[in-house]
Amino acid sequence: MSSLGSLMNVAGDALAAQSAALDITGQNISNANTPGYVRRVAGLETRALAQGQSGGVIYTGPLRMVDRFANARVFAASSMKGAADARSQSLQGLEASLAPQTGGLGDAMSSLFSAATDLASNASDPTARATFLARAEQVSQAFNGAANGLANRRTDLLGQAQSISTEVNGRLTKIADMNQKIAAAQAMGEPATDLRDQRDKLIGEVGERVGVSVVEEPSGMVTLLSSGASLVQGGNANQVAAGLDAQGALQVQFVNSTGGKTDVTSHLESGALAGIKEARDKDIPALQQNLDQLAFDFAGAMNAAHSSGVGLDGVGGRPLFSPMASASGAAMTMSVDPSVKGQPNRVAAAANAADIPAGNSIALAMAAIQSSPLGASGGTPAARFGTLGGALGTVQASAEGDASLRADTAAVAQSMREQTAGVSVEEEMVNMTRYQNAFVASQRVLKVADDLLDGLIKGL
Amino acid sequence: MRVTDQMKMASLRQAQSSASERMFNASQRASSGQRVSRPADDPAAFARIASHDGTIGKLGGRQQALGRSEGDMSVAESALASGVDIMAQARDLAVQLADGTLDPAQRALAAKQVTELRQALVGVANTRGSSGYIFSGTKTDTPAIAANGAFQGNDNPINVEIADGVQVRANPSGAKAFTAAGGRDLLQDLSDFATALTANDVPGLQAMIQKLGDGQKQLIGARSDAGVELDRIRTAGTVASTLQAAVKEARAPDAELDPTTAYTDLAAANDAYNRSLEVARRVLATFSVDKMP
Repeated sequence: MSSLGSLMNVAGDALAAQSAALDITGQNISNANTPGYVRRVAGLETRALAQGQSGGVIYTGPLRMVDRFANARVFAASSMKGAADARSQSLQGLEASLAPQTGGLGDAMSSLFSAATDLASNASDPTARATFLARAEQVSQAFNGAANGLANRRTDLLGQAQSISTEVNGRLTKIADMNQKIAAAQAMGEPATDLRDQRDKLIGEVGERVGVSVVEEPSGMVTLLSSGASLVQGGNANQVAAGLDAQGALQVQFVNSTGGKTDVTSHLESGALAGIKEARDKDIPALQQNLDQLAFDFAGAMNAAHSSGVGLDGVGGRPLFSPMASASGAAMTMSVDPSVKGQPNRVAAAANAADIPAGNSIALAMAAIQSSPLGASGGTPAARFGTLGGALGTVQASAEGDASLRADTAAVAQSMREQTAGVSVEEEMVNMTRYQNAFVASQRVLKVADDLLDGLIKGL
Repeated sequence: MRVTDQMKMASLRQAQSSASERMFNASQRASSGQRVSRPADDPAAFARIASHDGTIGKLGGRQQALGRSEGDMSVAESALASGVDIMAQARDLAVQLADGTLDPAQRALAAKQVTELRQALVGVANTRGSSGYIFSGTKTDTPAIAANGAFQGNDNPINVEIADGVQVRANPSGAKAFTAAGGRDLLQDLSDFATALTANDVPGLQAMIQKLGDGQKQLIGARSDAGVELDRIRTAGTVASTLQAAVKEARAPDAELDPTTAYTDLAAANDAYNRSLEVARRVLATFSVDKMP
């Protein structure tokens, strides 16, 4: 049976519940722009009283509006985006060393052929000879510069992978720590919503770097898996170590607390480390191989012509570029042969001593290489350079396209999560008014009960 | 769909960033006039441009080489024309002086004139071009004819490429023009002519008429050969120039941006950018706490 006392209790419950709900609304508004924040909804329930008694309202705590499916999609999408972004960024700017708009390899080779044509026109001219040698030097420097640009980028990417590993390790330790705190809070009946927000944010950041999947345990802890191995399990965090294997390729290992190592390199498919691995050990080596083959074929063709002729001193058999045993590393080591370097009179323009000084058949043969297929792969030097630049452009465009696609996918996943987890200030303003009105009305109920009780007391 | 503040802001940011990037790219293309500024813009076009650039460079070099050869062959042709005149004068003298009625003093006087003609022909044979003595074969650093009248050059060619894999001789053969390699040793004939005049050898002088006539024909033949080569070189230069223009035209669609398209794209990008700014302004204007209940 109802009483004025119970009415006052109901009003009191309502004041407490609406006040708590207003507090939640305030939290949501203040965190509207906080990264990783998941909006809360005030848990309000009818207080169950004994039979025949009217119940009030109780505040059961904040409800964290997280959609685990949407969360998992965000982790997966941002992991893929991390890989695509890293690959695209790793390849950016390579055209500056491999195929700049002017002054690059294509221009250098073209200038050498022009110099060979000039030499053929005036084979006895010391200036034409000196110019030819200077252009040969420029070609070797252009190859060296391009090869160094690619090699330096690979070195930089190793450093970047190591720095990412360090960033990941700090976060893994925090996640393991939070796992323990959340489990402890949950055991005491506390939701630990703030800690969960922070943990999810850290998981997202780790995912962008190494790619993760998450399994949540009933205890509230999460197990973080990546590349088929565990990164965090309960309160234990493994460490990520990036280095080089015996072949000089990027090697990523997970190291446990006892020093045990698991090589996950071949399983890396998402996260920035995967993108770096793809660019460093697949895309760039393919370009290096292409560049080396071009250097090897080019030097070989020029040497074959040059060594068949004689210099102004009547001596033949000198190569123009230092001979290379194989294509591997050819672009990096290419140089004008010491036997002719700085010796314009040793440039072979004539076929034999009888043709000295104006014989030009060898100079013509060297100039004709510009129109001839090079090596087994064929293609003129300019076409081969075009193919090399085209290969770089294709891989860059593919990486940029993939990054753009992954960014869109990640944005969609983020938007899906936001629909549930994000804060709408308009919605919160409405809620605030709603809870405020309920609070004021509850005050009125309390006042009415108080007035009634006061009247009763005075009437006695 | 539930729309949150971060969704609105993310959408505005993305639209703004996309419009800004589009305008940046459009302005870069419009200002540079280049369709492909880096390989990733159009990898296939980049490869074609590089190949075309190689061909354009090659044809440019060929034109320069042909220009120089043309100059040298023109000089050679003019020199040979002078040589023909010299030999014509010598033959005319031989015809005049082979007349038995003339007295020895007149022939002795004419011998000096023939010696001067011989010296003039040596001068012709030792003509210099852009890279040395034109008639010395590949020994361009050595005069073709020594002071004693001996030929000291060689008959080796200096070639020039007129098309891929096709070369023509760009130095006239001094050996065939002036020495017995071409039929008559012109300088020896002129020496013999002068000797016959000094010796008042009328039968010898009569025999010289034929020899000097043959020598003249030999030089005419050499001049004709030089003219033919000169013509081939000139034609090849024209062909190279025409080809280069054609390759440049073929390159243009890949490399160059049509100005109308460039400025239209820039205007469209500018409009899109301004629209995105206006949308952002309006969305942000609706998002006002003051308007909340």
